[in-house]
Formats: sequence, structure tokens, C-alpha cells
Amino acid sequence: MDWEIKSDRPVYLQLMEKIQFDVVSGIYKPGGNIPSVRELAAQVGVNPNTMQKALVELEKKGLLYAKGTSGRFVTDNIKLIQEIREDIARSNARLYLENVNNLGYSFNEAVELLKKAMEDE
Amino acid sequence: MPILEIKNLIKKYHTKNVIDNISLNVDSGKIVGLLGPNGSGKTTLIKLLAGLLTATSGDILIDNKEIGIETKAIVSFLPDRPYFANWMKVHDILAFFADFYRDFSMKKAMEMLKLLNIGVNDRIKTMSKGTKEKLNLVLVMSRAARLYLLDEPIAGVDPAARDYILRTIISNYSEDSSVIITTHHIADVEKILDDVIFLNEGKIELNSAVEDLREERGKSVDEIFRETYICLGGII
Amino acid sequence: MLGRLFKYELKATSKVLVPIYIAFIAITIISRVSIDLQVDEGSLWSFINGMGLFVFIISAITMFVATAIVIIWRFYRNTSSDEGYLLFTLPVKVDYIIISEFLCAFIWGFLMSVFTVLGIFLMIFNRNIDDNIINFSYFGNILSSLTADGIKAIFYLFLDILISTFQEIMSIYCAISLASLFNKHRLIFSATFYIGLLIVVNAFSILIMNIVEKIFPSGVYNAYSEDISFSDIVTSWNTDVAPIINSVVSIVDWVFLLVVISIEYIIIRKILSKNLNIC
Repeated sequence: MDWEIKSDRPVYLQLMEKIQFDVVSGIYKPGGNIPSVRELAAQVGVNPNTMQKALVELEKKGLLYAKGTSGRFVTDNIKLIQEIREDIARSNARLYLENVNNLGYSFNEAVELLKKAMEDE
Repeated sequence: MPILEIKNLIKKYHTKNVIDNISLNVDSGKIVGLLGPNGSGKTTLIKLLAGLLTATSGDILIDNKEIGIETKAIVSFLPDRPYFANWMKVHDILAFFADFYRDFSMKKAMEMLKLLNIGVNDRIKTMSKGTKEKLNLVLVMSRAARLYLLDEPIAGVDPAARDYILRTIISNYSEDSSVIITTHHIADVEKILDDVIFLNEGKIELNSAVEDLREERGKSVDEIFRETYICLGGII
Repeated sequence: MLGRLFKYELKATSKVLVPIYIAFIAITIISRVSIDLQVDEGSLWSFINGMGLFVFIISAITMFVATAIVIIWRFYRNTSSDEGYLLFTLPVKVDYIIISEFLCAFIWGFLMSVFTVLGIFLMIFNRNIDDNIINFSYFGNILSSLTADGIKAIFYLFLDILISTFQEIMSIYCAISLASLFNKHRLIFSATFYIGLLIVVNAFSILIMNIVEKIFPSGVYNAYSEDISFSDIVTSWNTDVAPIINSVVSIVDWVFLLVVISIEYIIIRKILSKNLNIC
């Protein structure tokens, strides 16, 4: 997932989603540190206060924690990371099911479609 | 304590109120967008804050001080056109800033110029418009000011330079200072803003945190801007 | 801060004027050499002798015009165009800005006079050293034959030129400042205001001087005799001209001009602080 930040949704939510994704997909390792607010903000091209808000919200979730002035780190809590990973996967799955359901497919047909799609790869 | 307080500000040209009873506050550590069509009073407001114009009535306080020498020392102004003397070389204008502004960092300026490939002995007279604008930005951003006033910093600038400018503004961010940016290019700029102020005919149409607007209206500031001004019957 | 502003004014103006001033001296030397060249009468090259003086005069005029243009242009650029954005957002008093430019203008005006005198000297000094000494002692004689009144008159004359120069510069600045209140045709407005000021100030000056002369008459003005020699001129300077210059009229004129300068300064200051109009 790229930093494709859209301006019609709150930016901090999108930032949260992206950083969360980077953590669960292993781009940011558990226990590893992440760049400073200003660095991240400049990298992405967003307001630093907005980036700060996103990071604080992720701290509240337990995904990140701040160590004084040394910056922010990813949690060691592998279980939490797995939980979030599964959450994201499940909501993607729900979205898929909803989409194919709208096209008229049943649940079983949906599963079949998945298998066919895998063969396409 | 807000870095900027404006109360009942009026600026009259002949019989017209170019700034028509404006009141607003800007807190420290904020990047604020000042948006509006031509003639809305944006540049006049910026010039009033920079000390280039005098108000007809009302109060302006920057860091709790009235506009004057003390505020000029903590305000860094980037006009919409480069303001250099053509006789200068880059090192001349650097020395000039170092001479008059105590908060100017020669080190920072030199680093930024190096990244931009602008040489210390380059003549300003022979620079392209884009290079002059970048130089101007470097000088303004190399000051540790409390309030930065950027008048149309990305107008007429190519996308790469625009990115550079926006990233520079973000990297320069500090909790002790605030930035006011006027622009027409809302779509490019809105992601770096904390707050946005819409001006129209010298009055404030809207003054809000950008994220609040996105949450409440599910639209980008750019879209909201267009809607607002079409409603007002303006031509953008 | 005033020192720094002055330094930058000097830097900016030197870029253009220093080469011109150096060129003036160089041209003067060349002119002098070409005047002195021994050329056969009536030969093709004899025009060089005459050219020398002509070229000298042209380069002196150029020096004058360049200095005037630079003074005017600097003030205009600094107060009415983009460079004003830089200058008037500096954390300095508007007074310092005005004074630094004024001082710079005055210095160049002074240098111009010095260089002109120097140029004239280079053109007329006698290559025969003995003759020069004779000339210098001649001037020495003239100086010693000046009375106290005569010497006082010379100082007064210098003071007069000084104050007039101040007033000239201030008038130029005042005209440009007034013209900056308008958005278009600033050049025409500047010229108009300047000429207007010139006429008004001179008219009042003469009027006041006439009135004061009536109240405090300075003395009899003797007619010059037919046969005029240097010593005659010195004598009449001592007895006829000096009393006029030393009189109350001069002093009243200076007071008047100083008042004019003050008023013009106040106008300039007000316009640049409150009505800055950069286009």
C-alpha cells in the first residue's frame, strides 16, 4: 500500500491505516523504531500535527509506544500485531464477499472464485 | 498564547474596505492556509502582518507585540515575487540576511543552497525566475522566525519545485513557530495545512481545522472552496 | 543598523559609480596627454588637441549624470519597487533607511565635486614644475590678501553649497515619495513634483531674501571697473561680495532651507511608514 493520501477523508485516519499496514506486513519490525514525526510528515508530504495525531492514536491502540526523546517504537506484542493483521485481512475478505455478493454470487461460489483467482496468478 | 491575534481589523483604500472587520487567532505550531479569490484581501492581510502596510483601524498583535521593529525581527516574509537587488551575488544576499536578522542561520542556508545546486558566487541577475524563487525561499526558511508569511509560494512553479517547497515548509516545522500560506493551488497545499481560512471581499467566510472539515463534510478543502465561492457568485 | 544600511547602499552604488569615476580620471589623463601632444599645425592629427578638452567635458558631464541617475534610481528602487519588500521588512527604523540613502547620496555628490576639481586640476596644471610653484604662490598671494570678511564669506559659500545640496537631495527624495502614492506614470509625477518643489522653494527663497535685504541692507554694491585683474576680483570679493554673503540674508536663507529640508523629511518619512505603495 502506497502513501496515496486523499484529501476528501480525514488524513490522520489514512496515515494510521498506512502505518498500521507497514507494521503488520513487517516493513516496520516489532520492537524496531520508526522515523520521527517530522521525517515521516516530510516524507509523505503531510502536516506534522496530523502525522502526530495519527501516531498518538496508534499509541493508544498499543501498536506503537514512545520512549521519551528516543522516538517511537513498534510494540513487541506480536499477538497484538497478529490480531490487527487478521482484522485487516478479515475486513478485506468481508469487502470481497460484499462485492461478489452484489454481483449475485453465493458464498460457496465466492470461495470457488477465490480458488480460480489463485490459479490465475 | 496565540502567536497572532487580530481584532476588528479594517484596511481602507479610498472608500473601499479591503479588509472588512476581520478577527482571528493563530496558535503557535500551526500551518494555516489563507485562501480566497483575487481581490479578497489575502495579500493585503499578509502585508499588514509583515509591516508593509498600516491598518486603518483594529489591532494586530504578533507574539503579543504591536507591528513594528520588534515584530519584523520575528516575522519572515516571502513575497509573491523575488525581491532581490540585481547587483548582488548569492553571498551578498546571504551576508545581508546575516547582518540584519539575528535569527538567520548561515549554516542552514548553505546546506539548502548546496542541495539546490545554487552557488555562492552565482549572480542573481542571471538566475532563472524559478531559481530566484527557490533562493528566496531558502533565505526566508533559514531564519528561525516565529511567524512565516508565504505569499503564493508555489504559484507558477514546476511540480518538482513545488514538492521541494512543500517539503521544506514541513521540515522547517517547529512548535514555536507558525506559517501562514496564501495560495490559489489549494489541492496541492491542503495536506500540509492545520487550519484554513477563506477570505472573500475582506471578510472571513470560514475559519476551521482542515481535518474537522474533512470529517464533517467528507470533502477535500479544494472541493469545499469551490462550492463556497460558486455560492458567493465569485469567479475563481 | 544605520551603519549596516549605509554599507549596503554604498556597495550597491559603488558597483556602477566606481568604474565611472575611475574612467573619468583615466579619460582626463588621456585628454590632458592629447592636448599636450606636439602636433604639426595643420596636419591631419591636429584635431587631437581640440578633442582632448571636448572629451574631458563629456566625461565630466557623464560622471555628473551617472551620479544623479544612480541616486535617483536607488531611492526609487528601494521605495517603490520589489526591493522595497526586502528593505521595509527589515527590523530597522524607517528613519535609518532614509538617512542611510541620503548619506550615501551626499557622499557621492561630494566625491563628484572632488573628482571634478581634481580633473580640472589635471587638465590645467603646468608641466613645468617651476611654473606650478609660481602658480601656487600666486594663489597664496590671493589667499593672504583676503580679509577676515573675505575668508568668512568663503566659508559661508561652502555652507551655502552644503545646505543647498542637502535640499536638492531631499527634494528629489520627496518628489519620488510623493509620486509613489500613485500607481501609474510615476516617472512623470516624480519629475512634476520635483520641478514643482524647485519652483516653490526657489520662489520663497528669493522672496524671503528680498524681504530680509530690505530690513537688513548689506552694503553698497560697487560696479566693476572695466579693467579687471585677479587682484581686482579679490578686492571686490572682500569689499563688495563678502558683505552680501555674510549678511543676515544668507543666514535667514539657510534657516528657510533647513525648514524646507525638515518638512520634506517629514513628508518622506510619513509616506514610507504609513503609505508604502510598492507596485
